[in-house]
Amino acid sequence: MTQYAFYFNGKRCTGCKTCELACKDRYDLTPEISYRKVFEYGGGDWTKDADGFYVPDVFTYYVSVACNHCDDPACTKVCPTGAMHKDADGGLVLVDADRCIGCGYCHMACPYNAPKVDREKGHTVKCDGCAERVAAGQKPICVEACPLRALDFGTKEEMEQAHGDSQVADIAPLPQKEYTHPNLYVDPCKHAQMANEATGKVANILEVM
Amino acid sequence: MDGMLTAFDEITLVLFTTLAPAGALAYVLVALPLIVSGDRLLEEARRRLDRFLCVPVVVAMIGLVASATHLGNPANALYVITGFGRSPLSNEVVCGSVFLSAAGIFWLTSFSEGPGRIGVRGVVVAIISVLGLVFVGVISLAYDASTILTWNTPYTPLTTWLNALSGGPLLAILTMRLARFYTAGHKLGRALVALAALALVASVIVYGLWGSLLPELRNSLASAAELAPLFMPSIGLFALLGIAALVLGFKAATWHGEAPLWLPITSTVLMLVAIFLMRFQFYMIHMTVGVGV
Repeated sequence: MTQYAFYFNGKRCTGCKTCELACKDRYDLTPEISYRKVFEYGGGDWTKDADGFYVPDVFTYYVSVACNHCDDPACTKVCPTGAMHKDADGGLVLVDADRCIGCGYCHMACPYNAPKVDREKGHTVKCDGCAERVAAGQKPICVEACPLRALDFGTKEEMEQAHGDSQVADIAPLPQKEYTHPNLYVDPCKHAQMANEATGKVANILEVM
Repeated sequence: MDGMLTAFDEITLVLFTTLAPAGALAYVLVALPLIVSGDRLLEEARRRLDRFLCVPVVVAMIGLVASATHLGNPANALYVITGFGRSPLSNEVVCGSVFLSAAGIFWLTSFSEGPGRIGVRGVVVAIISVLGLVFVGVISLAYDASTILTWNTPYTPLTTWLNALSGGPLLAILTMRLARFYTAGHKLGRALVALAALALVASVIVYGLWGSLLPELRNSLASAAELAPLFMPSIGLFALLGIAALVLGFKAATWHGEAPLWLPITSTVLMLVAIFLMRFQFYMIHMTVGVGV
């Protein structure tokens, strides 16, 4: 079975959020809903060295995240109607709007905060990997919009081949990969912290919630 | 950042998880005399108790209806059945619907003219009571998702049961007062108050243990203690409201003759308000293991 995956290069991303806005523009999203979000993650401290100087070890980095179309999604497990499902052709996690009751349990369970109930539409909405564009042989709009070429999308095998040094996303502020086995490959930046040893915090909460 | 917004967004679920477990457990407690000593009860007393079984059913039903109001598209609700056995939410809705439908139909048959077969009615109400307990059980398990850091603990199912055991007996006392059902020496009434009191003490302990964990439960956005800064003071208010409810419930259950109605009503309402308060806190502490609160 084909399984599509995203790729994110933390060494290139500058946190410009073009990916997020290109997606919002294409799908005409309201300010409250973003299918892709750019997290600004920071932390660190000042420590006094032997000579009495204060030395900083502060850091900040960005992580651009949409739905990771996980192998073991938390959202599909809790969905009462089966509206949230994994597409048999490409492994994308999709919402069947004709079955969704808009209960919001998928939103509460997803550790990537990807699905959200659109109260006006009455059902959950989320990133579908630009399924239509992909079917037409194009890349998702976020990937094509990135001015730093920090994003990529393709089958799992393609991502592993094209980005050999990358690893399945396991860096903060994202959860440990074991929870849902995300299909997101990451080239972590120099200061990236492992998810299970994270000491920082998301610094742009109002932008990503 | 606090969890107030989440709790207000899910306010109907706060109401559902307050009313439904208490209603279902009250049903079981009111049905107990019918199950245990059905044909030994006076005909008139048995009939009244039978008919007033609708009170806990209505309370639980209000909860279920309230929970449906938060849906974005209730028209698709029938699809919920397809997730039975797989999705904890489907289990909750299906078991709730089965219990309430069975209890509702059983209540309708209590109006039949004939005396009915008391033994059969006892067996049927026992089966419906088991459905009620199953309903409380599946509610207690419905929120325990592995990716929800603050809810993925034994405290989640435990507090649902303890809430049912605190609120259910007092609602049962109210129902029995409405049905003018009494036992010698107010034995049953006293036992119900004792059960609610034990559950209240256990609740305070369990909530206290949970509350002390909150500063350690954190993701990259916040700690659970930041999301619900008033969790600990709320336990105090919960205990006070609960004690007041117990005192009034005890008065109502041991009153010589017919207790004034305001006593069991106020007792039940106070306990349900106490439970509601902690359920609100429960939704405030919601956070995932990743980047969701």
